Amino acid sequence: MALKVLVVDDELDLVDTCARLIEGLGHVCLRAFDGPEAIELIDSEQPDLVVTDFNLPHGDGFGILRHANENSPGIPVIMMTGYHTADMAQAASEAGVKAYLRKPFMTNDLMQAVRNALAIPRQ
Amino acid sequence: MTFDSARPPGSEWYSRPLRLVLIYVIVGGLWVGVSDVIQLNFAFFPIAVDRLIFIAITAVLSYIVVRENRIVIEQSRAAENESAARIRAYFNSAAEGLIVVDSQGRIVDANAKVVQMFGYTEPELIGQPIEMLAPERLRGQHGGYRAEYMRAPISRPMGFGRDPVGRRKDGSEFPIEVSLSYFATRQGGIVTGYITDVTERRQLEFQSRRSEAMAAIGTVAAGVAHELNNPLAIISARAELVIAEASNRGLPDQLLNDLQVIHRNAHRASRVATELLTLARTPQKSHKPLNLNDLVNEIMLLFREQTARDGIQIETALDPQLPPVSGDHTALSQVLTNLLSNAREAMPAGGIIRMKTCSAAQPQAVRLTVEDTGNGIPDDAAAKIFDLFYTTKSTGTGLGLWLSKRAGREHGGTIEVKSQVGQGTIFIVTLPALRTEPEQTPDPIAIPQAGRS
Repeated sequence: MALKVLVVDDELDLVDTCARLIEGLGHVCLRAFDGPEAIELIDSEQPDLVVTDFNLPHGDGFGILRHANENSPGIPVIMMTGYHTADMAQAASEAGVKAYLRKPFMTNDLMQAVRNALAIPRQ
Repeated sequence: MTFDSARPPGSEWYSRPLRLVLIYVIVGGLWVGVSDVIQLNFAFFPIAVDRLIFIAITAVLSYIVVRENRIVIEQSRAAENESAARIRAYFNSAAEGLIVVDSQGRIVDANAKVVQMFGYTEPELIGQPIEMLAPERLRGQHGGYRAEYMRAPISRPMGFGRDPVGRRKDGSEFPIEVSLSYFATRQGGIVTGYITDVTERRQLEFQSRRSEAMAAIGTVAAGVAHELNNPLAIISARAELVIAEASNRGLPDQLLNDLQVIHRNAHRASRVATELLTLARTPQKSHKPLNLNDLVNEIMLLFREQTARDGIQIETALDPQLPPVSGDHTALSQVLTNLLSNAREAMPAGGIIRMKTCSAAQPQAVRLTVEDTGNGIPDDAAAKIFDLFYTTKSTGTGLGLWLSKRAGREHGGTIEVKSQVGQGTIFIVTLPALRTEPEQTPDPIAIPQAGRS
């Protein structure tokens, strides 16, 4: 069954790349390029999964995670970041992200993370 | 005389007054005798006795007066000596070097700290020009400064805008701080210099400047990491997509190989930014008990496939009895990752990496070795291999091993390298074992089975 995945990153090429990989898994991809756009799409489209960058114009990945948790409880979030530190990884894990990917990531890692996140049924 | 019994024989202090009194008695006696003989025509007896008694009494009294006076002088001299000794003791116990110089620049006095600081004995210093304590190259200059100071002597720190340097007897130099005081005495002006060895303070200043520089690098690195990793993520992911396409369509191996090179290098570039970040990040670590065997197994998961592709086999020999260490998981994984990456890069034509853990008895420590069968490192390179920005690889950053060494030190351990050109290299990580209280076997407690109802 095709599920809706929202990809958020300010880099168009990266969003496209992720979208191709996710669509390759048979899902439908929604695209957002900053915080407000992502939040609007979460509210209107109710995606099954959010894959988001940490650094975003007008907001960050944690803001999106918080919004998703408050408005669509149980929606899994995968966080990507080019600015990796141990603190960031720990914060992401404590905030409840389903997977934490360091850029540049392996396409297999992203696809596996998407598969895992969607395999767990939402409560 | 009874009150002199405590004095050693031959002591002069009472013989002189006694001698004076005896002279008085003899002269007085003679005078009495002669004058009476002349005046009274040998019929002097009753009068002479009278006069002689007077002379005897005055002799005894004057002896007592002179002696008392002498005791007072002696006592005040002893007190003076004692206070001089005390002042000397203060002078010598000062934590700073104190040196006294006359108006010609000759050393008049120096305390124990100066002796210790400069390595000369006191007799070697006294009477010598003060310039002997300055490096040769600065001696001429110093003479000029000294003459200038003597023209307008005020108490002030020495060397505005200069960093004064002291020279020890053995020729070594060290940074000092000197403050000067001027005293006018009857023998002419003297200058007292208070000398502090500031070697340690300078080192601290250097370290703090260095950590500021590191923080600045950190800020830059964070920006670089972010700006670099986004495009690298795109390059890497697109290369993977094309690799997948290429294999599906049965395109030539050469194309596949080219793409893999692109992909590998995108990841290598991202490592530069990551390492820069690690270099500059403020160390805020959580040390937890961890087992190096677990760490090796985790890293193996990441490396096994990559290395297999490069024709490298990884062998492990892990001691099941290995005691835990107290360590920061991220930092130690980084160390292991660095050592493995190095080993891999040392064997472009393939080979074997052996990872071994064992415990070292004295002192209680844990040892992890990473051995490769690569080209080996020549001795001169091995000596510098842990230096910051030192690298032998055209693609290296010179950070990895430096960071590893730092991490080892932060864990109270060491990292050493042994290498034989043509044979291979072995890195030895030694970390202190975590002291654990002898564990008590808990009494088996019956866990009630959860009933299903």
